[in-house]
Amino acid sequence: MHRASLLDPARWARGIVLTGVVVLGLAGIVGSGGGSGGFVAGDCPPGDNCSAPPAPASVQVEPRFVTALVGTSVSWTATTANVAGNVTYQWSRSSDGGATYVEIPGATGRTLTLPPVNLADDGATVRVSVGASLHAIGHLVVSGTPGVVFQDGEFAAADWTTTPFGNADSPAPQDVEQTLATGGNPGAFRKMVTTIAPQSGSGRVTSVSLASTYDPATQGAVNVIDYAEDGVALQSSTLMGTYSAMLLEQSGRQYIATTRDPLDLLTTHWSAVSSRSSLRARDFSLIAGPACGAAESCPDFSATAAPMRFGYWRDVTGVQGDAIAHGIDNWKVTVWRR
Amino acid sequence: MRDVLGMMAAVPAGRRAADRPAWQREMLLVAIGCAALSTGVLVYVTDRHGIPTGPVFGALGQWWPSGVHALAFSLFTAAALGRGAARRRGACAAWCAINLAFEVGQHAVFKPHWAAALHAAAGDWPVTGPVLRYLLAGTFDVGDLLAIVLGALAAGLLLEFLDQPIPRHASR
Repeated sequence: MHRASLLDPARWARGIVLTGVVVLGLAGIVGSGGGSGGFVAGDCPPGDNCSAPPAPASVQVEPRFVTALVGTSVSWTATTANVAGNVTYQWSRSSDGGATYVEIPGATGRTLTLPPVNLADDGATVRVSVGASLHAIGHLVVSGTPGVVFQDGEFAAADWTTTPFGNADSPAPQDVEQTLATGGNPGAFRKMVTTIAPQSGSGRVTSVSLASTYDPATQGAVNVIDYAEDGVALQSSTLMGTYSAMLLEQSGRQYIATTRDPLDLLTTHWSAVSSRSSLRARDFSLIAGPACGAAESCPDFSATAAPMRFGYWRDVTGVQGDAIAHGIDNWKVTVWRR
Repeated sequence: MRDVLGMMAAVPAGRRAADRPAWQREMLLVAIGCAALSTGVLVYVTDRHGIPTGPVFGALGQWWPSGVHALAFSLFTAAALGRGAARRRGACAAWCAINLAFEVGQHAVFKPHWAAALHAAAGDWPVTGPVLRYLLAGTFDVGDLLAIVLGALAAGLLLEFLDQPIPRHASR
């Protein structure tokens, strides 16, 4: 009796259908991303199926923000995606913050190069139009004085101070740093191993360069800041991720440059992450220190501002107890004055 | 509620009741489930992936997919399991529990433990990554819990109604 029912094809078919329904149902839950918006293409770990709907036609301008010294040339390049047919470009320029644009005669190529810029070009916006409906914008800041540069590619231990960063929601991780003579991009680099604390799914660390003090009172008000670093994730597990951002420390407060652009995820090969140009005070958000008063500028870029130091911030995600290794090289901050 | 549904399907005098044919019942459940599920997919297309028309579902879109997932897969499972009160209720209860477990797993109190347990049990198995990311990156929402319960309840009521005997003319 039992044997006969086990061999019943209808019963088997029903079981297979049921299994399919359960698998599809579970995949639907996990694939939804849990309300986090689902996986985005750029965040899709290798090996995972993170297929997203086909992207619409788009155009981007690189660089979106550029800071240039008087007398230098500036170029922008347009990149299109999913544009059908012949791609046509028309570059325009605005000198009123983007309210109105005037076509630049003959500027119909993929790349626009402005001749050596001068202070009259400061604040200019260029726009590329692809067809009638696709537009992208690039911003230009021009400085009359060379930027003050802080950089480190060797990472002597005495030049940096690192602090695991915790709050009520996310306990501070453990963090170990060491400078390795080889394996960087190229040569020496700084390796960090961040171990996620119990009760947490992430760990944050701030590193400040002790040799990077900029004092607006003696060196002048800050107009904008350029930031660059090369970063690498030192393991290939799809379960872990490391994000990076520029850190600014002033008057007992710490800020990271995350307001204007989303965080970049480190990959398993050296790449320029978190490179940002023309960062203004509004592009930084407070992550530690006293709350900002109504009458305060946070951070303060004015000529009466307190000295500031720079560094970087790392945020690793994973599972409690995970020791996540990541590296940094070619860290560079350029302070541009008015 | 059962009484109400019973009255709606009550057999008039001069008629006798018969079960809906199995194929018809299954097609009906799958069709309703697919229709419900497609509205959930629509939320992702319109409201969460940012199509040019902008959000369509508004605040409802935050919880709708959770509710229709529980509803649709309860119906699919009930279609696969066949007729019977225990199967109907089992299908709805199971999907309600599964959805609730995944949602609760995203709560800050539970997610580290669940993720650690999963990581320890499954290691780098291909399915582990997406599930861990779901737990760690997902957002717990009480509204989702409510939507899941309502979705499973709606499926249960629908099944009770559809599995009532349908009236037909008595033979002479």
